[in-house]
Amino acid sequence: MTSAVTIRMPKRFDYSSNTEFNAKITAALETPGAITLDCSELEYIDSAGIGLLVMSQKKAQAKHSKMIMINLKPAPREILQLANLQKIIDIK
Amino acid sequence: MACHGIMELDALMQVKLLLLIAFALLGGSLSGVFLHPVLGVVFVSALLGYTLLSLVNNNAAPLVSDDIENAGYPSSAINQTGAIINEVVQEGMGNLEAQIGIQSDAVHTLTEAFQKIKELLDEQQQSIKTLVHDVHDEKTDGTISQHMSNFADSTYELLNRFVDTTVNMSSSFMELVEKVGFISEQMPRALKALQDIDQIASQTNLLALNAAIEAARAGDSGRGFAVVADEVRALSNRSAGFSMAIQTQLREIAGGIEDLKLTVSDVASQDMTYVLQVKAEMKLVSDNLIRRAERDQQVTKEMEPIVSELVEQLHNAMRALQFEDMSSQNMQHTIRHLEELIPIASSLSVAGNNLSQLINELSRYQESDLRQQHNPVSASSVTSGSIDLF
Repeated sequence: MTSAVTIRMPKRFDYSSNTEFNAKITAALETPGAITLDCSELEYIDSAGIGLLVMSQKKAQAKHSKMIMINLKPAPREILQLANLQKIIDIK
Repeated sequence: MACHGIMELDALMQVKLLLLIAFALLGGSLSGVFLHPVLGVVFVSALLGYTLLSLVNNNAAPLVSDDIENAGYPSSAINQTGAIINEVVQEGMGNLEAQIGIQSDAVHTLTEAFQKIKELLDEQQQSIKTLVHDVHDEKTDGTISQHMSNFADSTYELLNRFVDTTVNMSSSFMELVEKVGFISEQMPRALKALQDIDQIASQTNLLALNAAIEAARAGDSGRGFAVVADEVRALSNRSAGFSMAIQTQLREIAGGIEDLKLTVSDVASQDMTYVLQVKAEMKLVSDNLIRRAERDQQVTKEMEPIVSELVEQLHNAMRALQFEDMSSQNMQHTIRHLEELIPIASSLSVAGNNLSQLINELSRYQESDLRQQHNPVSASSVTSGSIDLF
């Protein structure tokens, strides 16, 4: 599955990112292919951000798509692994 | 002059004899105690025999000489020799008996002490096992390190479940927010529809007003129509009022939805960093505890052969103490042989010029049954000793 759309993740990914991120995901799901989340700027993610990712992954799965996270820094990577997100989202 | 020379020679002989007897007794006692009782007795007997033989040979001529016999030197020397032998033998026997008592007491005390040490060692070993193995836990028979490992696993599992629950809850909340947001998005359209209704009501009101004016202009014939026009205006006003009420309620609902979204955002937004810190600290603590417990177990395991060796050595020591019997028998045997020397020594002390009693005692000694017996203890060390039964 080729990566069709890349979304740049913000520095802080929390509840405040909800509206913008949902809009981008909804738009990206209109295009076939995996959705790549570029996390090169991401420094902080809380449980609301993780909830957003899980919800988005469910949407992608419903449309037979998937999400890929790239360029993760150690701190957010550790939190995502603690939440076992690597089981449902491809973290590179 | 000749007599004087003989007297000097006799004095020298007496000194030599005394030295020989003293050497015989001292050497015999030491040999009997430290080497072998029989050896001691043989040593004493041989030297005494040699001494007596020398005495008889050297003094054969003087003994028959009236001058020397009248001087009384030989009989005095023999008497003194006998007294000395008697005294030394008595003292040796007393010392040996005292030594048997001391040795018996010491061995008894040592045996009790070793037994106590062995019991304390067993108790210590049991205490160490209790420390390392949680024997109070009857459900599981594992070590403390295994318990700690299980505890750490359970804690990680609990922590992971908590994290999973938090993530699922956050995901559900975000879905809820999205659905509520969808409802919230519908609100402007509903308000727009109500505003359309307001406009229709307003137009209806205006239309009814025109109808009422026209009815008034028509006079009596238009009176009925005027009533209808008034009712239509009333209905239009009521419609506008309902629309306003619905709009007010919808705005309140929209405000409630915004409050709900704020509350949900507060609940959904949990900082996960502290969970990481807690997890790291718990891992550190549990790792340290497990490492410590394993080290304790290892040390205890290493101590086991040392304790076994210690117990073995204690057994060896206690076994060696059992040879006290052999030592006591050895000394008893020596005492009995010394006892046999007493009559000889007594005969010497009263012999004077008459050596017949001494010769009789020597014959009795040589023919003694006890002398024919050998030492019942043939061992020279505690590692390979054996005791002959009489």
